[in-house]
Amino acid sequence: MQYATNVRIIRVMCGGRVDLEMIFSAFLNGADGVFIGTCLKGECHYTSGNLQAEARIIFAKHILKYTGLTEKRVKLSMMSSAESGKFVSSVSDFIETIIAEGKLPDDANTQRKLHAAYRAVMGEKIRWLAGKKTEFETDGNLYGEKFTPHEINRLFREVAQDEVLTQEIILLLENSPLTIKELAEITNIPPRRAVRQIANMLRLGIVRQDGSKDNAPAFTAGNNKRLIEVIR
Amino acid sequence: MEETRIGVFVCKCGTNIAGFLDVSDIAEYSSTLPDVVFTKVNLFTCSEAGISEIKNAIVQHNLNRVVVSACTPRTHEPTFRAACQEAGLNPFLFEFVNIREHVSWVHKNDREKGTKKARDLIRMGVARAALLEPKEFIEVPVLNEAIIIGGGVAGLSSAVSLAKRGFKVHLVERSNKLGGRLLDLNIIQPEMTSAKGIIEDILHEAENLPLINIYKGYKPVDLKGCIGAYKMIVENSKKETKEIDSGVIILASGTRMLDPSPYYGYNGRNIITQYELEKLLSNEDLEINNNVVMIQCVGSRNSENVFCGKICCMEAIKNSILLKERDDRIDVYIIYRDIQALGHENERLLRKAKNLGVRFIHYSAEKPPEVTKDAVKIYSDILNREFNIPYSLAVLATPQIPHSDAQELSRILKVPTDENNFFLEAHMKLRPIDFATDGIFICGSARWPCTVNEAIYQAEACAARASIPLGNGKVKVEPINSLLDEDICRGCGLCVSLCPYKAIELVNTDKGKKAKIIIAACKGCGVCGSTCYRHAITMSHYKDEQLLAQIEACFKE
Repeated sequence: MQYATNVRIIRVMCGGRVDLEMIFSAFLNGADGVFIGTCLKGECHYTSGNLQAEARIIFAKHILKYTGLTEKRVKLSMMSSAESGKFVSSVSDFIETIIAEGKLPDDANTQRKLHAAYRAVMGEKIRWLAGKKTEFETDGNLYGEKFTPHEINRLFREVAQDEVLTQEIILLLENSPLTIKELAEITNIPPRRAVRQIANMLRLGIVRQDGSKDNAPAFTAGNNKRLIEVIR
Repeated sequence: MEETRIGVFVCKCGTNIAGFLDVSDIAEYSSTLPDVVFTKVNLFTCSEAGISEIKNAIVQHNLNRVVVSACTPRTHEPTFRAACQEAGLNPFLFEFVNIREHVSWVHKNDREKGTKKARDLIRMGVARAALLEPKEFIEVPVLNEAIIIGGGVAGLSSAVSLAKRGFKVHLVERSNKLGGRLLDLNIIQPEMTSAKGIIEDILHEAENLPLINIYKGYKPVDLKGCIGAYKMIVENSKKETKEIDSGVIILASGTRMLDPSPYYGYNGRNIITQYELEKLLSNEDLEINNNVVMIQCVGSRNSENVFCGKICCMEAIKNSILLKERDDRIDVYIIYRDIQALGHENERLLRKAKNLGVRFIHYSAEKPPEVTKDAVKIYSDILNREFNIPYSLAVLATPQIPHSDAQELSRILKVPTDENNFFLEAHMKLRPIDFATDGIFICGSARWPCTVNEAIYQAEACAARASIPLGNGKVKVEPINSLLDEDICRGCGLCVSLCPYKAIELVNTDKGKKAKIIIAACKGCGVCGSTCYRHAITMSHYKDEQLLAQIEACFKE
């Protein structure tokens, strides 16, 4: 039983221990891919840790996609501790995928987006929703409405995009005041989307207007204490 | 704050590691890592010499962290933790880096990259070690009852042995009859005792021990819990289920016989298996008027079943002796590839068979015998000639093979099987009847085809091993549990709803609602800590900063 030398293994007691923070910390530190091995469905050694890991991976994939990296860079594989062959083939496939994708780009754009992603997964919204997935699917939300996998996927995608974009804008505005046009250009989103995002952020008080450039209002990061206090 | 002083021990594991990695390079590199003040290469770190080197180094170099880079924590973590403890260092200040299973064994053909991976893993281990904190083991109660899966000779022997020690036993047997394969066998070598006699004695004992609860016709379908508090669901053919609680589990599920029909024109009449010959031989009136030709290694040691059936050689030799002793005029031929007659008793039987005139003809796998309607055609590669042997009975030595649902059972119990689907023990030499999972033990042919006396002594060993937690009534478990920072917690209750063990509750404090961890119920999965949006919970011994340090160190060459 042989496989390529590309993986570095970190021992945790359960897939449920793998925090989104750890995944994006790995990318920020230079990992080209993150592989998570968990127990099979219904056979989790800790009852349900694998389902929690799965919920977080849905977010991780949407975030990676949004940041312009492929979702293939994170993989969750379920296997029993007795299935060494499955581990080897799953890891080998993953290594091949990552080699085909190439090294993680280290340009400023990708790094900023990854940094924004890291902040996003440290924040309340994504963590709360990831933790609520199984409840939404089995018991429903506060109104007893159960979510289909499709609805979960759509919700997680939208929230992932929104949260990462919010953090990216804050990161940019922490450096210097920017106009909506500049923000849209740097973050590569349609200007209408940028307008909507800034309007929301103004309402929440996490950005504020700070002078103007070329007759357009410029914005700077507001009092983000509440958003940032949980970020180490 | 106390200065961090880390000792790194790099194990060669004989040639298991040193044969594939550059161990001296790894050790030299380790000595350059932050906080590392002592490095040592051992031939076997787990040996007496290796252990005393760890202990001496802790004292002489004032080490307050120990990193061993060797094999899997599953076998030797307790050994090294004990060494630390004996030298006065808290056992949780020890970190294990696996450069055998994770490196040398799986990268045998790339010494350079394997060595680099080992260096990386040690760097990560050292980074984590620096942040480890002293902990104490937690004791959990053990329910003093055992579940035994399989009512053959192995399962029954374990059951009797445990019940006689005063422990309640739940014996689960899939068929409607206890006794297993021994019920069909005739005479057991080397002592030539009656198989029925042996099994009837054990059955009689088992059925008269009130502590043994028997579940006939049931098989396991689900298992929850861990050592001390297992909960198994068993089901019968009518889909009726029962729930059994136990502290430990012994697996003695045995094997089935390989279907002989594809081999040598098997017909069940004059071309039969050794197993069927057993039944014929127990019949006093059996009449055989011509040659008996026994063919060994039928359906085993081939590409499909690569393993050796192990018991078939001695079974053939024993049956040939019985045939010759019954009627000296019968000519018995044993057509073999290799004869396994280990031990002086078996060697004696082999000589006896030869002296009685049993003929042994060697064949090679490339030129197997041919069985026609009335003769066996065989080419002897030793004599370099072909024989045409007429027969009245051709006997095929087909092997025992794992049950068709072995994989299912493996998944339910979460214990591994080998590439042949036999169950796999934790360590061939050091833990031969334990599974890697605490509190589950293995005996009999489910592990590997074995003789009756092997099955019995494995069963006795299982009972003895299982008696340790059962007798103590408690077992030490890792102190891995959730740690809450109450000041950060907002009492949202997300962790309460996620905890699979109901180990977190919301309580009213003077600072408002707060989560509260019930340490005794917490199993340490980490779900709460990795979900908490306030980052108020972390896991002891797997703290966020310890794991993040490992991640960071991974990329800091």
